[in-house]
Amino acid sequence: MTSPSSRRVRVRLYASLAEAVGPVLELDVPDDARVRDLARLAAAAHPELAGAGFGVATADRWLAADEPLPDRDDLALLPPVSGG
Amino acid sequence: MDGRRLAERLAGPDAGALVTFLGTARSAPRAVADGEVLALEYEAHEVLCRAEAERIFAEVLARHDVLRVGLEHAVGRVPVGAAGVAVVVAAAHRAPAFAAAAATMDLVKARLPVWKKEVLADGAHWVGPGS
Repeated sequence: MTSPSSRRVRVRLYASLAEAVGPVLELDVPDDARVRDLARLAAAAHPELAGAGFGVATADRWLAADEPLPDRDDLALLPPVSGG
Repeated sequence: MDGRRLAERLAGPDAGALVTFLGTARSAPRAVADGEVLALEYEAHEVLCRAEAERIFAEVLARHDVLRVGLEHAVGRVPVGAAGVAVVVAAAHRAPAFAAAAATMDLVKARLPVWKKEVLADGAHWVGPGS
């Protein structure tokens, strides 16, 4: 059950974050949540994530911390990248 | 991966310069103080990679006088000495081609959703950003 002013989001994790807590997280977020709230709530639910910097993205693009958290099923929490 | 197929695709009679950069796995570790890296392992958010690569190309094409830009990135295991990433730039002239290739790599390292792990004899360690 979630309160009327919140929704449950399903977030895919990658790399070191997925190793720490598994490939998927489900979190309750306020309907007016910003992207930064998702990161904060994830760390609150999973202390092993605290202190890890991470980015949030959809399948299309990186999200800015202060934008509204979109209501999508392709959200992902991503560690700092290290490609190339 | 050697960048040759990518270079063949991007070459053309309009290009007097074709620059290929290969990022290769080296044995000195970054994730730990010492040891010998045997291989890298790459993980990627592949769908987002394709979208972000298109944005990177658009930015490089807007800022540099070049014709075409391409990128390949390995996923999975890359042994030391082998290439994990290839960037190819086609341009009329070499100076902007070199500059655009470097700029593309900078953007790849900053923004492409890929993560590397160094595999050593005692285990594997995720590498921090920008290394």
